[in-house]
Amino acid sequence: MRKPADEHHFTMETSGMHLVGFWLHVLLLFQLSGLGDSASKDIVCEPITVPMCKGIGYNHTYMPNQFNHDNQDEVGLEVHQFWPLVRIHCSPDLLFFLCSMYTPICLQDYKKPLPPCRSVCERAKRGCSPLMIQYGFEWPERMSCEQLPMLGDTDRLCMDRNSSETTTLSPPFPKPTPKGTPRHRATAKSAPPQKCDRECHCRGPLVPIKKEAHPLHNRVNTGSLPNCALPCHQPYFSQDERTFTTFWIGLWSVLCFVSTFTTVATFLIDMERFKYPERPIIFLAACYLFVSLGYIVRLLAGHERVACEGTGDQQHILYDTTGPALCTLVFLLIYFFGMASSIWWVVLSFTWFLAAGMKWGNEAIAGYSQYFHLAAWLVPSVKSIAVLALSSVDGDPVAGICYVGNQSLEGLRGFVLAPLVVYLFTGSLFLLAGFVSLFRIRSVIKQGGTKTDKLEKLMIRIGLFTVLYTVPATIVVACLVYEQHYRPSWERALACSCPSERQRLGMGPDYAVFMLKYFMCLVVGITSGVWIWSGKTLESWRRFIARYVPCRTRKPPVSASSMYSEASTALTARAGTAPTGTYHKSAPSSHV
Amino acid sequence: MFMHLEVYYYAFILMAHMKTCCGWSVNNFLMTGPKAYLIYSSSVAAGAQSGIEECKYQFAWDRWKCPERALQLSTHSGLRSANRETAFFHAISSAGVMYTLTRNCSLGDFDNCGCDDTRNGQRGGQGWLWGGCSDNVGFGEVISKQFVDALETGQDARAAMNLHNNEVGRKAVKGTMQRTCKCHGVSGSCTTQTCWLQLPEFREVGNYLKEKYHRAVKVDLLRGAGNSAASRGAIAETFNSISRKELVHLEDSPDYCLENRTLGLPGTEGRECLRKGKNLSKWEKRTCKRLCGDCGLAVEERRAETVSSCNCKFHWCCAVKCEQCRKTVTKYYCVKRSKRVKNDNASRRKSYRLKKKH
Repeated sequence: MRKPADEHHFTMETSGMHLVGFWLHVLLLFQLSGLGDSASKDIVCEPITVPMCKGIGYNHTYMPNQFNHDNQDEVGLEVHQFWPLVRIHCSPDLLFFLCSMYTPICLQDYKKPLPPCRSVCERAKRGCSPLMIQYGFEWPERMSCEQLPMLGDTDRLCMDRNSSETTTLSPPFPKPTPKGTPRHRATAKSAPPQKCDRECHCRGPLVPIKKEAHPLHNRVNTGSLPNCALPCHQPYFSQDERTFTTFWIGLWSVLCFVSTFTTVATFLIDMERFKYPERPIIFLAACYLFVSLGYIVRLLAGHERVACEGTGDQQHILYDTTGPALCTLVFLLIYFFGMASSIWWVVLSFTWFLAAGMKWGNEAIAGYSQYFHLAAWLVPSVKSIAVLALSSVDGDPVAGICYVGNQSLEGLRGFVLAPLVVYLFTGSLFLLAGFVSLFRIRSVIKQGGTKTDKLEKLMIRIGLFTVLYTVPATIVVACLVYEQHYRPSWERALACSCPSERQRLGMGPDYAVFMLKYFMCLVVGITSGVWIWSGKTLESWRRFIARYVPCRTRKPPVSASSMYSEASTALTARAGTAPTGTYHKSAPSSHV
Repeated sequence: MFMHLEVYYYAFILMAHMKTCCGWSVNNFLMTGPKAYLIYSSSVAAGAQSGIEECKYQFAWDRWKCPERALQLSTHSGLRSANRETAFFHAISSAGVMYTLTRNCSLGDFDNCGCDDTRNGQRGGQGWLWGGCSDNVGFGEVISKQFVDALETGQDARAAMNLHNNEVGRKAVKGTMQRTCKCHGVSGSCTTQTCWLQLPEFREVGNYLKEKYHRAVKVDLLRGAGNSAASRGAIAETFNSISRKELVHLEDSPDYCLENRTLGLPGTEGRECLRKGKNLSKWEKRTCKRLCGDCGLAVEERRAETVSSCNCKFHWCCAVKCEQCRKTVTKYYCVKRSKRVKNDNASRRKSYRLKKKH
């Protein structure tokens, strides 16, 4: 009965209505048949077939993944390129991280994305990125850690093993049995806290020297263990402490460079202004300029390239070497110029003693300048050549520089500690003698008149600067004494105890002592800039710029020079000493 | 069984109608029409259905909410509207058909079509080549046009309007296609890439057409335009001057606030509306004002309890555990205002006074 009625209805309608009605009937017809369900785009779980990613903890994934791979064969081709990196075990998290990105987990009852946590990515990157960089590869940009959710984010869930430990007191299922090598390694890592192995052997992070062809074979030992080398970085300091060390050294070395560069430049444009006894301050600043340059070279080249050798697990600190140019360069800059600066400090205290205590004039002191230069440059040269000849240059695992005595106590004591103590002692003697004389001469100066105040201020300023040097120098000596005293026990603890026990007993160096040492090594260069902070400096620079204008060249030098010369003459005359017959105005320029 | 019989029945009706009405060549139709029709009819139906569902989603919080009854009723009663809403419906249906045909083509459902590989191997840009499986949108467009436009055989302004809006829907699909790439290189580096054109989510097509709906162009034609040759020329000239990317309509929309059984409009009384809540767009936040306030209705608040998953956590390895939380949800509905009660009282008072006088 339906059909005739429909037919009748259609014949009465217009053509358009007929077609539209037909169309809607077709829609209803197919809607009833349920064909609309085929339009859904649900995720379909499929078993993981990529061999590398089987057994990582879940068994199902879905395609396409975030890299637009259509099937797991395509995934396998790309993810397998990371297999050498996985095999080398640069990070126990690398395999899980890669598979969770390439074969994402598919859960039947949870449809939102479930990527790895940012912490998993950062652990894998921290362990493997340095190795990739050695082979010329960067960490892939599309696997950057910043795009992954943080552990504990309630809006975006993510996968990390720590999540289970923090949220549930007892895991709902037993821990999965280790199926692959990476998991076994992860399991092995958790074993040490339970039982502490106290047998002495070359264990991580120490580097065993196994091959006889290795240059260090039978030449190094750590904690009395033969063929055992220290790693590239100080094992007692964490990654954060290492990062801060780089920042700390960078901060002070750059400040030192800027300050000393300014001082040296000011001296070069107006050499007449700085006479003895204050001239050694300029040379001392120049030495610190080069010392800071040595640290800056280390910052630019990097810890590993300057102070380390080897690759991967076999990377260790440099021992008894003279080969690498970068290491030698950093050593010479820091050691040679560091020692030269100490000698210049002794020269400064000596010349100050002559001027303040023995009442010498600047011309008389300048007469011996060639001897000062000879002592200041020759002694460090001899010592540096000796260190190089004895192959005593080695890497510093804390600062990442090359120096002497980092791995050898004899080198530390003989080439660093002993000279510093001698210099500090000698300079202090001169200072003490000078101050005693200064108190006696003060009464004589005061009787002279108003013009002696300026000279007295100069003497006091030089003395103050010289004393201020002794504080950092003493602290550096103290740090070195501390280091050489305890280092054998630190090395022995690395070989004979486990990390938890070392942490519990408080073994290991004090981080603050090392930071203090590096600061004190450079602070004198920073404070030496104070010496040029005065109106005279502005005048010197203005005069230097004005040299291109002829009308200004004569007045200031004449007045300044005559004023200073007059003061000097007054001092020497009123001091009661016999005037020197060889005095000439042009004489100071010949003493460079 | 019944489904197939119905299909053949309607195919027969269509064939007979073509013969008697439009003078088509029966031989030509028999050679291509029935076979092609049967092959693609399921995709066409599914596509039109997806268009309807997208229409319902896009107008969920509008006064007109894309009711199916209105479309059916207007068909049967002979009253065809030519307003803005009709324009959107034609466009989204046409887009749905084209979209489904194109996607099913890429999925390999049809023997005579596949990926669009006309540009494969060519260099597309800095460091990437065309490759992979580009969706064959040209195929979907051709078949969709054959099916959907064939329903408009009239020569009047309404037919021209529908054909125009069908084309807008197809262009919406093409305009929202996007390029997707895959990286090639050692260890995950993006040294080179292979890219292809891919259909977007159909929601994007719906969003695109909703924007066009808000900016639809109204066409004013002379009243009384019939089927004369001069009128047809004027209609063609008018529609050709409008961009194929803009929806057009001939009439203004009726008042969707009120119930209109003749037009099949239910009105906004009893409708749910949105008022507060995060993640709501501006349009959604003004739902209560648009559906209730501006229509002279009040907003009623009703509370309901729901149970949903919350506090999901990942447990190593590997499972996600969620809690079941009870939550009180507040919903809002349009109801008549209480003023009518006052009006009724006033009316009663008047009648009482009349009695007294009398």
